[in-house]
Parts: sequence; C-alpha cells; structure tokens
Amino acid sequence: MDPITLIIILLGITIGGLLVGVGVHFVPVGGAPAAMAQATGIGTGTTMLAFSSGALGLISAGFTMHDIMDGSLKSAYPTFGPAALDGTLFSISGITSNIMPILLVVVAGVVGAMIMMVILAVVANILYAFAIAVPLVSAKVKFDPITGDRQDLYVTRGTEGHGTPTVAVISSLLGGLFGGAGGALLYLAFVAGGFGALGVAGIATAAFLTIGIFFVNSVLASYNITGTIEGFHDPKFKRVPRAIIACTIASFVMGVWAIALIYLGVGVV
Amino acid sequence: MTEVKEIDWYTLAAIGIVGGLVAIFLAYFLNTTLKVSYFAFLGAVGAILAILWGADAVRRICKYGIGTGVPSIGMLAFGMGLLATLLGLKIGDYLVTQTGSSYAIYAGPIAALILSLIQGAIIGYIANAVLKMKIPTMQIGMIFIAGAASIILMGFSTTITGSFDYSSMIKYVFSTGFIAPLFMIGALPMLHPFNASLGPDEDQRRTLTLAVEASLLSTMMFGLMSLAVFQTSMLSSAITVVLGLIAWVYAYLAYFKKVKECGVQILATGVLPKKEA
Repeated sequence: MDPITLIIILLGITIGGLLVGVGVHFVPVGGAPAAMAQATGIGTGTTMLAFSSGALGLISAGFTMHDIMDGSLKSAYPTFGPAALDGTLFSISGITSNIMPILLVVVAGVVGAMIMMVILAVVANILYAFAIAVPLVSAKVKFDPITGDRQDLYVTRGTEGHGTPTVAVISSLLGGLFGGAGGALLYLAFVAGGFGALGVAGIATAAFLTIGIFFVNSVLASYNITGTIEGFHDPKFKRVPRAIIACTIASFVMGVWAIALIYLGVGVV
Repeated sequence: MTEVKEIDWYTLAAIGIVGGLVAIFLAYFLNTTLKVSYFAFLGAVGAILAILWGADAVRRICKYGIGTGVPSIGMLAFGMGLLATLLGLKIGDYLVTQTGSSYAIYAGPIAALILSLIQGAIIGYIANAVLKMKIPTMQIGMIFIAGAASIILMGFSTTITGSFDYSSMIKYVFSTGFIAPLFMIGALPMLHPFNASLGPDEDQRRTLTLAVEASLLSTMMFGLMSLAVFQTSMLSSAITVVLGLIAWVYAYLAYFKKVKECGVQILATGVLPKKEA
C-alpha cells in the first residue's frame, strides 16, 4: 500500500478517535446517581453509553456499507465496492471519486448513534417522569438554555437534578453526531486498509478494532470529565481542550499501530 | 483478623509476564510437536496468571477513585491491548514468512506484549500529564493493565484455537465472532474483583481469589467455544471445561472461606422503641 494512503488512513483514525472523545463530552452521563434519579443525565457510565451508541452506529454504518457494496445502492455507486476491497478507497483518487458513498456511510453511523442516544435519553425520561415521579431538571444552570424554563426551583434538595431535560437531550444528540461520525470513520479506515478483502473475518476485525479505539477515547474523555457531565451547558465542558489533546495523541498512537499492521499485510495464510 | 503482607505488584507482574508467556508457549509447543490440541487449556493457565497481575493493577489504580467506575478501566485496557496484540502477532507471522524459521512465531507474543506495554505507558502519561488525574499509581498501573490485557487476549485465544498465531486468531476468533465474548468476559475477571470487593476493608488476597474464581468461569466459557474449532477432537474442549470446572469449585470454596473470614456477625437488637422511656 502506498505511503499516501497509509497517511490518510492514519489521519482518518486520528480524526475518528478525536471525534469520539469530543462526542463523549456532549453526552449527558449521569452514572449511578442518575440511575437513582439523584443526578441529571442518563443513568449509566460513559463506557456503556459509548459502547451502545458506537455499536448501533457501527451496525447502521456496516449495513449501509453492505448496501452500497452488494445491495440496492450498488448501481448508484459502482466504484465504491471494488475500491474498498482492493485498498484504494482511502487513496486521493479513491476519496475524490467515492466521496458521496463515504459520506453516506458516515451519515449512517451518525443516524445510528443518534437514535441510540435519543432512545437512552427519552425512554428513561418516561420512566423518571411517570414511574419515579420526578421533574426533569438540570442542577447546573438556572434556566434551560434551549427552552428558557426555570430549573433550580424543581431540583430536590440534596440531589443534583433528575432525568434528562431538553438541553441535555439536544446535547446527547450532538454527542451521537460526533461519536457516530467518528465510529464510522474508524470503521471505514480499517475496511479501506485491507480488512474489507477478508470477508466476514475482516468485517469482525475492523468492527472490533474500531470498538477498541472507541473505548480508549471514550474512557479517556470520561476521565477528563471525572465520570459525569450534563452536556454542553455544564461548567465541566470547558475542559474539552484537554480531551482534544489527549484523544489526538492516543488515537494517533493507535493509528500508527494500525498502519503498521496494514503495512505488514492483514491477510491470513 | 491477622495482618497478611500484600504481594508486591512487581512480583505479580513477573508472575504474569513470565508465567503467562511460558504457558502460552508451552501450549503451542506441545500442541504442534505432538500434533494434538489437548494442551489448549494451558493458554487459560497463562491468562489466569495475567489476570492476577491485571486485577492487582486495577485495584491499585482504582483505590484512588477514578470517578468513572471500575469497569471503564478494564474496557480501556482491552481497547489498548487488542490493536497492539494483533500487530504483535502479525509481526511474528511476518517474521516466519521472512526468515522461513517456524520458531520465529514465538516472537509474536513477545512483540505483542512489548507493544502493549508501550501503548499503556503512553495512555498512562496522557492520563496523568494531560488530563491531570494526579493518581500516583496511574503511570505504572496503565502499563501493567495494558500488558495484562494483551496476555489475557493471547491466552484465551490459545484456549479457543490451540494456537496463538495471527492467522488462527483471525480465522477462529474474529471470523467466528468469538472476539465479542473474548472482549467482554476476558476483561471481566480483571475488572470485576475490585469492583465487587472495594471498600475500606478490601484485602488483596480476597480480591485476587475472586479474580481466579471469575477467570475460571470465563475459562469454561472459552472451553465451550473451542468446540467450534476442535470439531474433530472434542476431547480438547472437554479437558478445558472439566479442568476449569474442578478448579472453579475449589476457587469458589476458597473465596467463600475468605468472605466468611472477613465477615462480621450482626446481632439483632430489635426495632427502636416507639416512645422514649
């Protein structure tokens, strides 16, 4: 594989990992207190949130990719399939001639991740409102930046908010957007790097290497926010530049391993 | 309760690295020279030694409170370890085709371990210097959990396939989809023990006994999965499952004994009186 393609794959992995790391900062992660309706956010840790949205993003991206390569969209984008199989997809000419299907796969990843995020946020809200009977409020701001509703009056004393209010749901959608785009980009980079030619084994390997990088970046980002955040309105969101540096370095190093693997040849004997 | 001196984590690291690699190598060597697959269970032995190392590193990092829950660190370790391990095994594979010597395959796990240690050192540095977590054990701990994850991955792959080379990992671990359980229940014995026993009276021996117990449960699962690979010689899978089961019963009883040692008796005092006398 020529060096330019390898460098583009490295860049793809670095940007993908960075997008995942930034995306985590938008997701309202509440942790265990949120599961007991004592803090704002989705009631689980970053790891599981990132994994669920990343996995659904991967499934939708992979499904769309299959559709482009062998399914109903094959006639619309005939060059994508061969380019993905022979490893020229991420060369300069491959990108310019296949920019639409690449965008389509990334958008599919975004849609999958956003759907998962909104399910996690809104379905849990139904339970919070009608089963636990708490109002959906944020404790970090006095007025909701989107709707302008008063927040502080409704926060139960001794807790840090309940459920996922409007601003946090919007924020979680943005998180899904960044995370899904990053995940799809990582997956595409691995498939374009030669795993696409291995068939089922290649798809599984590309997916799990993507999930590996996804985990590293999401956990580093969640260390940055010390486990919980409410969304872009949270004061902790100001720490995002640190995560950008950290995730860029981490993804770059993993990208170097990935291109070394691709350079040695991913095929089996 | 008598004070028992804790095992130093460098000692556990030595046990994990040397024991883990030797067990994996021995499994591969015996399987290929005798042309059988009965020694696949030795891979699990290596993985268990590495789990002891990893579980101890996890408890030493998470003692300071990382804010995100203990499971996140296990997932981080496996995320770091997977790519580095695959590259390391590929290096072994590449050396075999380049030098023509079949012994070059043994370089694979060593390369995988070294790459994982480097990866862990970088992530540990980022966590302390860039993210400012200020955990004194973070730097060494990250190196250790990444290395442990790498050996666990290779050890359990050896349990599933009887071999640790790149091709059989891709063909029998990734292609069959066993990588998903390998990722999850491979990481579980490393992160679960401290997650379950954390607290002020957390005790190293009890946590590590739980690690062994949990890893034997995983071993049985991987033994069952290896049925898909060893279709012609199911005895290999049976050996793994039966040995795993016997050892698990022993480990479970040992853990139960430890729990009873650490437990305290609670006396019923009755509810508080309605009125003060």
